[in-house]
Amino acid sequence: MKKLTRMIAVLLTVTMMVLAFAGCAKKGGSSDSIKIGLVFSLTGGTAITEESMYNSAVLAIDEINAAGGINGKKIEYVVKDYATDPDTAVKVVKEMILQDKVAAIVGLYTSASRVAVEPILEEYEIPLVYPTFYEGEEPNDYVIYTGCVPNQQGDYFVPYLYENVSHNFYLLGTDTTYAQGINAQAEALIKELGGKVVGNELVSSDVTEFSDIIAKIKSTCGNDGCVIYANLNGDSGTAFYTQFAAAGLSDKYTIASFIMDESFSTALGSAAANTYASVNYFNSIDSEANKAYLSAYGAKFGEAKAAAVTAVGEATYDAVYLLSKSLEKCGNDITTANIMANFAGLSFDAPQGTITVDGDNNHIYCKARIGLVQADGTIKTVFESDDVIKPEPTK
Amino acid sequence: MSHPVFKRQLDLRYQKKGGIPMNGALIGQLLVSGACSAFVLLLTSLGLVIIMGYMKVVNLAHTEMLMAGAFMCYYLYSVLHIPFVITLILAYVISFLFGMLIERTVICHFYGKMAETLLATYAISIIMKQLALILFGKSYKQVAYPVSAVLHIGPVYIESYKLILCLISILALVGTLVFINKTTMGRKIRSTTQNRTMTNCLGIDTRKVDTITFSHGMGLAGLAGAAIAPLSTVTYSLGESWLTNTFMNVVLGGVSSLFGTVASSFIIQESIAVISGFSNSIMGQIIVLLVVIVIIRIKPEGLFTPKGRR
Repeated sequence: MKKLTRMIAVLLTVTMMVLAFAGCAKKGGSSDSIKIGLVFSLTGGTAITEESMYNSAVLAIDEINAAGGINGKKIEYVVKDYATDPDTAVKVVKEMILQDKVAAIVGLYTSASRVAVEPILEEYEIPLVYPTFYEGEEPNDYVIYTGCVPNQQGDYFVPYLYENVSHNFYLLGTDTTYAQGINAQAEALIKELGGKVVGNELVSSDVTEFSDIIAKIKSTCGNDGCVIYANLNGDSGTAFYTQFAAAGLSDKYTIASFIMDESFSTALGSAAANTYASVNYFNSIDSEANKAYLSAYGAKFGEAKAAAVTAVGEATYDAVYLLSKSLEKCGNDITTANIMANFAGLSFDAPQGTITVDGDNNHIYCKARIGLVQADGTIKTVFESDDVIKPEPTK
Repeated sequence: MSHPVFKRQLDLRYQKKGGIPMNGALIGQLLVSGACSAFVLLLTSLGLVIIMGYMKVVNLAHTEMLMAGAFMCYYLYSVLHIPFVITLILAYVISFLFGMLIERTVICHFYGKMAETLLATYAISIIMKQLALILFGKSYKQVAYPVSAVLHIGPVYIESYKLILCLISILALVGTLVFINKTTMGRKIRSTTQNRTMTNCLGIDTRKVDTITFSHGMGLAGLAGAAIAPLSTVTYSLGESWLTNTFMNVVLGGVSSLFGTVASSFIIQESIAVISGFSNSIMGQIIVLLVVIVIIRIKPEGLFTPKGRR
């Protein structure tokens, strides 16, 4: 009996070793496929936002595979959930690199998770395509950024609001690095323009009761018009819009926010009407590429979901396509150095219009857009920059 | 916290301008808003205080029950168009039944073990949250205000729905007080809390009493969740934002006193409203938390504790 147990143990060990070596041989997929990793919060605090990101990634992969794949090779993918937690992000990214042997990774949304994962990418030399607008940083050598940065967003937003809405600004934000940075940039810009910051306030992210802040806004702004520059996260953001409208103040003052997107506006209905948003992509963009993207998305995930596709969803779709183009240029020589080098200057006719990767800093050239939320929850573009803008992530 | 340099610049600017303009109208508005928020907090904490006070069970699933109640409100009121009042009653009934199920299957095995009930209810809260994510999906769901008029009294405004919330809150409180103090079941609940063995000896089924108490607490949580649904959007993460305030409220008020909860709701919300009116909302939270810590140091049992032998 003892002998038998030992034999089984030896056999198991051998099998495992064989399997492990077999795994080593297949870096980045087999001879007829290329393996990439997707990492999104399928659960956790930002799962609502990241749903359209994950769906868009899967959609893009299916489309590429249906069109014949990359140089005849299909894209295989593994999905990991990081649950809006930086530590989990580190763990699952390591798993994808070491166990699944992916050639590249697409995903992550929060800045905290990106920063946490960067050392892992450097250690194992695996590229990450990061598909989110964010506050900007010194570009990492292993990251391609397919969202816009503040010089493609806020630099146009504040002057537009100053010209078209009011010279008074009440700044409001969730107590995070992102909102703080964005509001500080806005404050500097408002001063430069000669506008007035009548209030500046941060609230913690679990605040969903805004009657005191609304009272304060009403008292400080009085009968002058005012832009409420409110960069509030998730549930806190929706609570503010709802209660602001319920207090009957939406006729007097105008909310403008980076956080406003189609997932918010379609849910909030009339409470978000006539507020401003700013990002490089709106669901309502009237182009063939966008129609094709949204109808494919609608067919796969349902029309209601297609109406809530946001800029980060579109940026993820672009991320997968750009990655596939880079992999295509690699031919049979898929190495991290080649993948990263091939991104420089890559263009893609994205739903938002043609975007190009800037070889200097791994970010994309894109247009700046400002949108006005309509009563039906769509966001209509009211301003669009004439040309694509060079990304300046460290500005 | 905001960056120190950034904060200092801000403070300097306000000093130059002579501070944020304060006037009677604003103070009046802040007090009224604070009072409304106090009723909302009272409503959302009632279930918690009952379960904690009468059963010595720390119910960490309480805020997830609020979330579940909000979802009931969305599906019953917004989707099925059932009248709002009936929606509230249904939310209470469904939550009551759910509470019964939880009590009979899980909680009843852990009486007298504080740490274990903490773990068990925490596990239930995680299960509830993830179930909500799987069943109801990832999107913001909105419940329209049942009444949308805004009342103006001089310079002060009140949303009419806030007044209705105050009313619901008072009704829930009065209802509970009557239930506990004037009915036979209430007398059984009180006697079980005072002396379980003696109550048992007198032929009262304390297990049944426990079930009713716990279920009533959960029912109130579901009702509160349904009532607050229009104030924000309904998502599976709704419970999180109520966790700190409801527990702080119960701790400050004292777990065995409903009046303590009423008082502490007002203390907490009025101070937050007024302090954030004068400075900012983060300062408001910090000061209130500090005050709570000091009060708890002086009166560890909470503000209001029944006199007599313990």
